[in-house]
Amino acid sequence: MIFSRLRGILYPNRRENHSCGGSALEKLMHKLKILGEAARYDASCASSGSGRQGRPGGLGNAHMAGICHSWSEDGRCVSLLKILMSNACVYDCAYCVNRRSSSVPRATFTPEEIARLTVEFYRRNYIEGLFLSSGVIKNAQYTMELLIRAVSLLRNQYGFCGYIHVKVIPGADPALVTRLGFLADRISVNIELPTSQSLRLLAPQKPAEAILNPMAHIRDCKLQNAEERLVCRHAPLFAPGGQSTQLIVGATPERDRDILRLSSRLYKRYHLKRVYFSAYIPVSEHPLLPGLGTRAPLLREHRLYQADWLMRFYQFDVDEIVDDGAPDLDTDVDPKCAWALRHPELFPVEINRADYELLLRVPGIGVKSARRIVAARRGRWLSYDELRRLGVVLKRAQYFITAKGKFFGGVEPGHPMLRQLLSEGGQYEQLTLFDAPPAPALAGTVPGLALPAQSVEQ
Amino acid sequence: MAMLYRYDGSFEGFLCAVFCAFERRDRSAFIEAESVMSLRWCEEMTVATEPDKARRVTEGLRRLSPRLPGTVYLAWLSRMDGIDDALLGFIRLGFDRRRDPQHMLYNGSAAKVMDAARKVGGEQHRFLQFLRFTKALPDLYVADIAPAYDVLALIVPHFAARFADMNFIIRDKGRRKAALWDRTRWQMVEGDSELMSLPLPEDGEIEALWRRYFESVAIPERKNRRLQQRFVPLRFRENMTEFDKGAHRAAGVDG
Repeated sequence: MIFSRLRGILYPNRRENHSCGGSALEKLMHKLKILGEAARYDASCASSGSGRQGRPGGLGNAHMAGICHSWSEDGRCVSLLKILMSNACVYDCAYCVNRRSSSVPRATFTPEEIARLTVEFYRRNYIEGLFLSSGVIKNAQYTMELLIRAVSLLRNQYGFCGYIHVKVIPGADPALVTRLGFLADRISVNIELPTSQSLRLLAPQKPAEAILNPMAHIRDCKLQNAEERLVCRHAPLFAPGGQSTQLIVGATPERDRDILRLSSRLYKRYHLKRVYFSAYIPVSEHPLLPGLGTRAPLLREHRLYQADWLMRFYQFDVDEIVDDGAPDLDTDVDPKCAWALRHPELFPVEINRADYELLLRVPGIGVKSARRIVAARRGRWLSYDELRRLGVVLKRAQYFITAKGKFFGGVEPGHPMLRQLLSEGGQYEQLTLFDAPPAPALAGTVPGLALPAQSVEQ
Repeated sequence: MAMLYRYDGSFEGFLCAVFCAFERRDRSAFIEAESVMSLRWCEEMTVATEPDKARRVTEGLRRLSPRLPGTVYLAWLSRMDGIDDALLGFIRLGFDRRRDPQHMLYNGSAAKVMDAARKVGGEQHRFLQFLRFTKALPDLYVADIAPAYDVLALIVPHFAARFADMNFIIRDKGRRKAALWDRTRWQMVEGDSELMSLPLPEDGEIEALWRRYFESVAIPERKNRRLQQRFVPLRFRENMTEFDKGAHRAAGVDG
């Protein structure tokens, strides 16, 4: 079973190999399949962060918030034409499908083919633009020059102003990185593994400096570009969408703590826009990697993203989310719930008084709800019912808030049963009338509202 | 006795009805389009559409918040039951308090209006995502859409800016409306015409390439069609190149 699936990955189109009659279309189909499959393990597909204006009468522009154009069968969005220039790689990184010792079919696009495909797809509104990456052909410089040729063809010959995201090949010359930055909307260097030790073991040709140096270089170029644009607002843009990176989760023994501390450092020190996590899907037998049958740690990836959101949008510090006492994220409850359960002394908060930063820390209240609450309570003192009408989801929030001084959760913060009520693991305990229900501290007495004991779901 | 203000069915007409209700200091007013048959027991009066009055209402709204006229327009487009009355209540709320009513979601009218505006805005964004052009003639691209709300006029500017260098038509066959862009300006065509019956060509090379690509990006180990369907509901798939035509009618989700 695993074997047949593996064959599907390794030899995706053996039959077509034979039937390839040599027509241009068939060749292109063949390449597109190989190089699309080779690129799909890259998690990033964002087309946001760049508001590049189109030229009058020209082709394309970028949408500040990004647009997803489709979703593939795995539920991930398709926003950009995400392909490799080539999967013929001279490196031999153990975790990668395209490593030199792997037996996948190889293919290489010409810059002309890439530009044409992008424009034709773009004109039909299939995509927001191009995400170009590549295996290392010959060496890093050579590959980078090929990437630059493809992108400059698009920008200069086709006059394409849509979104372009290009991967920097680790070890490439800084001058090439700079040139690329002035052509692309976002550039990124994949860090791949969370520690330099793991990198040394699994990707011996990629030293950590080859990854971090270009990151620092991109940051400095961007800062300098921002200054130039203050002086002259028509100065050419350098990677307006910033830089991102990706690291593989579950291939090496690092804990969530290590991964989150690393990403926090990357945000602070290298001004990254995004750090992507990619659950490791075994592609080869290697003594240092999980075996081929191992399932991808999708829940762990999900929790890491939730924690990432807490750092980026909820003003959490990494040490509040994980610490040495609990180096891994809780799988039963999301990281914000876990934090709130560890800090019962701060709750419940009064929805009409708590400041925005504190509202953001209430489980179940997101950026949108917190903003709505802050805006709405300017006009009036909000009741629990009105809170519901604002569209605030109270399923989790009810245990952590009061409205007009009244508490409607039934189970107080700090009560041992709360954890169970909030857990997503599906292990609910059936409540009966005879289990002594916890005495509600400040039970709601407003008629028309569910009594606390009934409002406890499941 | 309550008064029912009837307008000609256009957005300008609606704004004039609002103007009229305010002018008469009428606090028990209802608003309805002429084409709607209502069973309300009240006096009626038909409001003439005057661009100047409509503009004054828009200006007044803009003074409360620059984004308010846009919200009112989006909500009005939803054509939900009772949205005209909710809009009147919403606008009145704003002028009474001299504040942006968009935040007063605890008020029933405001909640209804904001909900309608959010739905129409969402539908608009869906078509920025899911609209698909086909090359019908060497120099003409055509797209068909079937939106739940009348968002055609909302999405055209986006495509006109993006594809400034090509000729295209976007057709909403259900409402028998089409928008035309000829590299310089866009215009709406309503009713049956040759445009509406122009058939789309069979899928060509680019369509085949796109489908091949779309299949190749899905990671088999992470297959999750339920999640996919949450993002691309079946009703959009009829006109999307990467999904089989008619497949949305087949039995539900398996994964």
